[in-house]
Amino acid sequence: MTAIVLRRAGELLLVLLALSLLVFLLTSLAPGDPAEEILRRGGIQPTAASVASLRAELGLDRPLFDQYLRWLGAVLRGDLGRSYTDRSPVAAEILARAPATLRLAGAAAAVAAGLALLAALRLAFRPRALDSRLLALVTVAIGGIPPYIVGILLISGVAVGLRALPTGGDGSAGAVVLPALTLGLAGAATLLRLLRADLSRALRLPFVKFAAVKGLRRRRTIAVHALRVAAPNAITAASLVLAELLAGAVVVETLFAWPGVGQLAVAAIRQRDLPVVQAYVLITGVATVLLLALTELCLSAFDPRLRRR
Amino acid sequence: MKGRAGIAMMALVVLFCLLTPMLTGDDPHLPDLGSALLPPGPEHWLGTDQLGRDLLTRTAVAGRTSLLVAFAIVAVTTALGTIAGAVAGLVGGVLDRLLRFAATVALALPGLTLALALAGVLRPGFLTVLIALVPLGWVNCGLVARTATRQVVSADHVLAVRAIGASPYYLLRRTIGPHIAGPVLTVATADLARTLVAVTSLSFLGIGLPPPDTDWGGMVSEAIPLLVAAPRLAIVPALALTVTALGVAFMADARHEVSGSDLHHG
Repeated sequence: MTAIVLRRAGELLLVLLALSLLVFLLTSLAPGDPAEEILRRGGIQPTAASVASLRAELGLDRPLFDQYLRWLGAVLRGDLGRSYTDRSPVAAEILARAPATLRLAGAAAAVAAGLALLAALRLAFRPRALDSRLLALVTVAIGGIPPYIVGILLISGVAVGLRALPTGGDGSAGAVVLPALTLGLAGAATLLRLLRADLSRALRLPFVKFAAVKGLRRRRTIAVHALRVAAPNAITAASLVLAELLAGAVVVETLFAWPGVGQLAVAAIRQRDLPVVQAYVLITGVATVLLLALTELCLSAFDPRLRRR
Repeated sequence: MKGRAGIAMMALVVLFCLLTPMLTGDDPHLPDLGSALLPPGPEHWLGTDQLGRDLLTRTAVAGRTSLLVAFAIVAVTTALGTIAGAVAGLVGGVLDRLLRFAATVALALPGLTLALALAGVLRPGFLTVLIALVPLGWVNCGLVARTATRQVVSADHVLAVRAIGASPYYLLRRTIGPHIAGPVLTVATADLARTLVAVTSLSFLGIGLPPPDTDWGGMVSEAIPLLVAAPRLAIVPALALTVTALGVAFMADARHEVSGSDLHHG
């Protein structure tokens, strides 16, 4: 087990390094000189002398690899730089926005998990019933449509048509319902597809036949015993979906004016505020990578069969 | 059944996008403020948008962009992934390890987030969208091509072709190619569905193509301020995108079922 943890940790470190390198290189891909950009946004006409002195101050005149190490060092100390637009520390700004995004993603995850579990059980109980076939079709459909389209249809149907719920993040308690439903439906479709495959694989195992011979009711066999066999894969699936929700939150936050990290990132992209974009990609990326790695590690601690490979 | 429905829906959308602008004869980009926000009528079947442009024509022209960009990206990622996967599967060794490491990294990274950042950092345009979606887009295709190649690489007929001294190029093209074409097509269809969502999501967020070019995502995003006054401005492109996305999703699902049973027999 120790060897596996060490190997996984090594892999994880490489992936995180690759991610940090990509994020760092974003700035050098951007057209224009950051020093000039900062001066111009500060209302100062950039001259050759002022640009050169700011470049020296920011360390932009050093070799690229040197810059990367300094940037990485600062990031590890929790310093993500300052925003171009208002010179405020980026880390604080993102931290202030994080709770809203986590609340949205959490509510969406609850919607996704609940719907997917109920639907997967229904599909396993009566695979040939009309509603099961319809459910399978709807799953393919919802999985294929972009979340913001589902959101638009929900807004025009529920919020504008029925005047039932608020269309945006106005702070009221009902405000989370539509965004969470939009995001959660997309997650539910992915989760259901994965869960359904695992469950039908579990139902082909010999113990299912034994349970039937023993006289155990089919529903109990599925909901208790087969589900437990399918659980490890389902947990992996759930963490994949959670990662998907974190990334997908950008679009949904923009649509519903939800004051989260994603909205901040989109605004920063429109204003070409590079440090904020960089910090957003880095934080979302690290969160995703860690989430998936932790899930895998927990599962292999519980199930020895997963340790080979 | 599902596959045919999917193909029919796609054909319908492609015909709609190609033919409608010729039939209506309206300019999709030229503003005409005198006839802004007209309701549906005989002159403009679905009415006009806030700048007086015909909604039907504009939806069709936007659809051309969405489809073209998505198809172009999938063509590039599929070609890259297939070549990389087949070569890695055939040669093995260091190349194979390299491919698997690249795939591990690419799968662990959040695709949409990186695409968003790249599209935001570079200047808006077709090339930017391509650069944003290709680096992580080849992975599924590459892994499937690799697996399918390795399945067949030690089969008797492949050994026979090798034994008579065929070049690796011949081997890949004539012997391994046909075997991996099915799985690759399945992944390509699934990739098309994902890419269509990603491309229109980028333009929905306002970081896709620069105006006056637009696609369905851009049209939906432009229509949001008018969602109460003129919901059709958002709903028409949303429905067009929905039909397309459903068509591709049904095709991908049908392909998946077919090739799933293929692989079990082989």
